[in-house]
Amino acid sequence: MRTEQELQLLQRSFYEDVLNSIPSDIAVLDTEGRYLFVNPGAVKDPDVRKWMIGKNDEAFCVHRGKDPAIADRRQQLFKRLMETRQQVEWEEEMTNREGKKEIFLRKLFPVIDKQGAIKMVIGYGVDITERKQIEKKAEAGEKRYRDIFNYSQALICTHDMDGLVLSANPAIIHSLQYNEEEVIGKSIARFIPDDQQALFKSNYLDTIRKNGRAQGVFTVVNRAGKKIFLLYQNYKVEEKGAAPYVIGFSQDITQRIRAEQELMQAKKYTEESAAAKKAFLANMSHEIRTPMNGILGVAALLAKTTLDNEQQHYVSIIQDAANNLLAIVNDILDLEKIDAGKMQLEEIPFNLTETLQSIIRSFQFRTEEKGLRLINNTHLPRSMYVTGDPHRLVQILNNFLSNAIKFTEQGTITVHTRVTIDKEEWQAVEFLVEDTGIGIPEEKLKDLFAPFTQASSSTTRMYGGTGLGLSICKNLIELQGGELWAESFANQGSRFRFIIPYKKASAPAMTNPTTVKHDYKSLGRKKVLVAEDVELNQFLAKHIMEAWGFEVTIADNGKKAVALLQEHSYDLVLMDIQMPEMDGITATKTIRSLADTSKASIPIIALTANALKGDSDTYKQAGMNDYLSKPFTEAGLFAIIEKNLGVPAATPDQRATAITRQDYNPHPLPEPLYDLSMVRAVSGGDESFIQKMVVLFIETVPPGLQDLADALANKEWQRLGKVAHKLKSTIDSMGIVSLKDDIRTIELNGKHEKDTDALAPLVEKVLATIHDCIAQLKVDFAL
Amino acid sequence: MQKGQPKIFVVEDNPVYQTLVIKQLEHISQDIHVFNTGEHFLSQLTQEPDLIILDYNLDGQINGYDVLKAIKKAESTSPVIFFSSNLEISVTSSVLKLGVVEYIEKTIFTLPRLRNTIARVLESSMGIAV
Repeated sequence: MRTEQELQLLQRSFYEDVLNSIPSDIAVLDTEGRYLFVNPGAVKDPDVRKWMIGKNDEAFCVHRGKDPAIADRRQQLFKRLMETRQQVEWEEEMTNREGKKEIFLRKLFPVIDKQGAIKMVIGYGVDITERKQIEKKAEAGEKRYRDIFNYSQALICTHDMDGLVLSANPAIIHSLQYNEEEVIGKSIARFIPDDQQALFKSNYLDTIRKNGRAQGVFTVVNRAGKKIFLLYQNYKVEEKGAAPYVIGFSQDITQRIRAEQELMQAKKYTEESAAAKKAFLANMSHEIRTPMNGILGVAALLAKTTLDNEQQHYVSIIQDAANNLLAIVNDILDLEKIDAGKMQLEEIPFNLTETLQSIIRSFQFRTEEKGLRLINNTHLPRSMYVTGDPHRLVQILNNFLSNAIKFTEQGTITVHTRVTIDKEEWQAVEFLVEDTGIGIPEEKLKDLFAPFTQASSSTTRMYGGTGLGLSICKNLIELQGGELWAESFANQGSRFRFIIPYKKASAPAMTNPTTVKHDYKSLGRKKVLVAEDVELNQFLAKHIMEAWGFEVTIADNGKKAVALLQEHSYDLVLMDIQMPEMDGITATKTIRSLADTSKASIPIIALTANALKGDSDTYKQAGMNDYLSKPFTEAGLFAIIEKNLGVPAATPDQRATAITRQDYNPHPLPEPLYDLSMVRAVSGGDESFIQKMVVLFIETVPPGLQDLADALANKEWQRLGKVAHKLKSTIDSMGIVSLKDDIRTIELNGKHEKDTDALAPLVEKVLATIHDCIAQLKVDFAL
Repeated sequence: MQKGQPKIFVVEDNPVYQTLVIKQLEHISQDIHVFNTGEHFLSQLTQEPDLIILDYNLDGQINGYDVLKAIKKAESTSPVIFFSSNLEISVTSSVLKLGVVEYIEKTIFTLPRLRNTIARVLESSMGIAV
């Protein structure tokens, strides 16, 4: 058994062990501040510990060489503890013996006896150097984030899952112009305009709850009532032990949106005004066509009257100017049709080679007149039937050729044509119009096909034109599935190359319809009612049809037309669309509902200047049989009347062909025997001159043919050449294209007595062809 | 015949071209004389026409070149336009050497050039704006 003393010793040694083993500083001081106990945690050296007992702290600090300020502070705190009897706590920074800075958290607390007096003071210290460093770092990091939050231009906030604002950075406060207290703790919904409240909940809050994130544009209203647009990207933050919240970043895009809105507005306005201008232009062009119809028609009639030289000159100026104006108007309308996607292309079989030849021939006169050469360099077969739109091809080539002539002062214009791709079903045909004119500067080439553009405004002054032609051509070519290229060198010339794919077609059995000539007397004495309010047009229609032997009655509005039709009988009605009192559509509907079925079913042809709208459907629905665009030609009017009277009269050509086939040629003719377009051009519209030329041909050529035959029979080759030479120019002037090469071969070979064996069949061909030609001319001109 | 109208002689044997050429001249003058042969034309040369339009191949014994030589020999000052389908270099060069206002190929396509040339010649020699 151990004694009580032994037990006490054991107990004390146990406590001392505990105290000595604690890795913190522990010291016990008496009320005077003298050390009673120091553990090894505070002072390692046992000799120093022993020395310290009974000494005060100041002596220890001096002994250790510590900063006097430390001892000073400790004394003051000790004093305060003695006075207040409350524990004191402070952080103490000091440099250890290795020169490292250490920070200690120190506490002094009084031990109070039963009487309430301070018995002793226990000092306790922990090394918090490491903790302090971590704290410092964390503080610096947080400051950085706080700075971002405070100084950021971005709008940053946090809010809870119901939209209550937890924090908002100064940028938000600045944007909203509310105080911080007016924002924090309030619902975001407060700043959302009324009409978007529902969206705020469904598009935003619900989304972020479900997906953890949301982005988009908020519309908020600030204190001044101004709408602000915020592009946001917000995330839900979930942390353990805390309620989830949302952190939001957004930027003010109000200005950008306003600028965008203004831009859209400006764009819309520009487009609208451009469309309005275009519509105005199209409408105006359309309005110009009607009076132009009258001007051209009457000028043509005037030109047929007896005029002196000066008067003829004036009339031709009127005709030229009116035709130019009409061409411009048609260009504008074409462009409008293309723009509106209303341009309809024909799909008819035609002889491409022949169409090409006739276009080029029609320019021969103009090129010669300007002292230029026009060359047709074609590699197309002599007869090439394709399906497509011949009129548009004519329009395109006309444009390029007109331009070439217009911009070329000297040299040559060449039209090259060839097939570039030849498939079973279709062929791609390349057309190249080349000139030696002023050319186009390279920098202008790219704008060339934009509407209303010419190489320069001085070009317009010098050469005229609307600058629409090329744009229309490009569009027309592309509409036909083709492509257009332009190449040019200033002062050297231009090359316009385009390729159009054409479906192949088989040759028709009869001669080409382009050469159809109408026999205007062939329909007999028909009675036509013309409903038309414009006096000029009344006069024109009457004059043209009376010359055909028709009986023409004029009604100057739809109402009168209906009344006249009820009283009299007619074979056909020509109906203007726009008329006072009753328009053409209403009049047609009225006629179609007449009780007398023979009158109700009369053929009605619309005369319309409304070609732009192309709504033939409207006319058909109203009960019209057909329509004719104004201004119309005599041939066009005749063709449409002939078609709708249901009695297609034979054309002179058809009749002639029949006779020719029967008498001279067992096969259908591949092409027209002759072409009087040049004679017609020379005649200046004088029909009697054309007649005279035909008579001369018929009378004077046969002796030459006889000479030719005689020379051949006698093998007088030189003479044969001379006779051929004489016939050559006559054959050319009558447009007998099929003999063009043959007669030249005879001339040259005869002269040089070369290949004379081959001459007989050529002479035979010349004799037979001219024979056919004379026969047909006699039929066509009723000689 | 109006006073002041230019007197124009056309030496051309092809009736088709006679008509075509006259058509070109109809607004310029009514005083036009057409000759089928060089011989006939030369017999009338003393009339000193204001303009002569001459072809190469002619009916008769002499050709247009012979006619042109005779015109020059007679020291006629009448301007001559050669209008012929004969384009042999030997012919054109000798004609041009003798001196003509213009040598124009005779085709229906070149009629405008003929007309322009006629107008130019008459304008410069007679001051007639045609």
